[in-house]
Amino acid sequence: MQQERLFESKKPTVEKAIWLHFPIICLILFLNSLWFEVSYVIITNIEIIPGKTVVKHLGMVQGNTVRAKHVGRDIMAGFKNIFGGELKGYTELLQEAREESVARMTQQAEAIGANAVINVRFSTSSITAGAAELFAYGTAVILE
Amino acid sequence: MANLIIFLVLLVLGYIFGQMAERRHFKSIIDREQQYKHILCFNEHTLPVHTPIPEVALVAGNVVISIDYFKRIAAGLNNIFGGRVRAYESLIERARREAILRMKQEAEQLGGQAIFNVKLETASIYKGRGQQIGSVEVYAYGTTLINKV
Repeated sequence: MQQERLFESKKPTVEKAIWLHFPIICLILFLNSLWFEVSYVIITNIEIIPGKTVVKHLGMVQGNTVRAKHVGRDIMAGFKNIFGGELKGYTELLQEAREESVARMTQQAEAIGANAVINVRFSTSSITAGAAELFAYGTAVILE
Repeated sequence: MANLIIFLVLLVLGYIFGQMAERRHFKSIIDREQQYKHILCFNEHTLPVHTPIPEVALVAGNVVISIDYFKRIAAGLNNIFGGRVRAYESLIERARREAILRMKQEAEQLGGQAIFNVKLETASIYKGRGQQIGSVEVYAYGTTLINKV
């Protein structure tokens, strides 16, 4: 009888413990996500970063992506070529592609231990008819 | 005969809708330029000596604008006689101003007051028959200064 009672009394405490830990786990996860947001790489296209001094230059980092046109978008672009106006599909496509190339550049900078990329430049070149290469490059540095 | 009719219809449609689109676009550009007048753009890469140390962020804006059918034909005719190609002038001006405005918009969202080292890049995206430029992309980017409060 006693053992049974003990068992019964233990059961809710285990559940309680889980419920007590749940918010703590949530808090840890939340703090973790904050930590990842905090550790970012500063990107500028000027030579200096105000208020900070460059400790070490780590050389050039680069990121590129080649994108081709979407058939549906191409047809819409064909229509727009008659009426004129903005090609929103292409604008978005190119913007996404540039973000991708910047992300790749940032990844490379992080991999070699930089915490900033300065003097960033963008360049575009059309490889073949229908595909464009978007290229971003800059100097990876360590700031104090 | 059918080809000629299609050609003329496209010409008229291009003229009407193209003019409408251009006028509307210029109007909105002028309005928004007034709205973002307080964000200054510079193409120098040296910063002035600030008393508060600002934060920096890369901002960018891009736009792809297409030319209408009528203007493309007009530009084609212009290619024979030479001289100013007004059709493309207005297209590229619109694209540049729009790209700069989008960059300013992004800067305002981040709370920036000025943009330094503004670079503009132009690329022709779509080339039709005979390598005539169909649409142009302008990409504007720069570094915005955000004053920490």
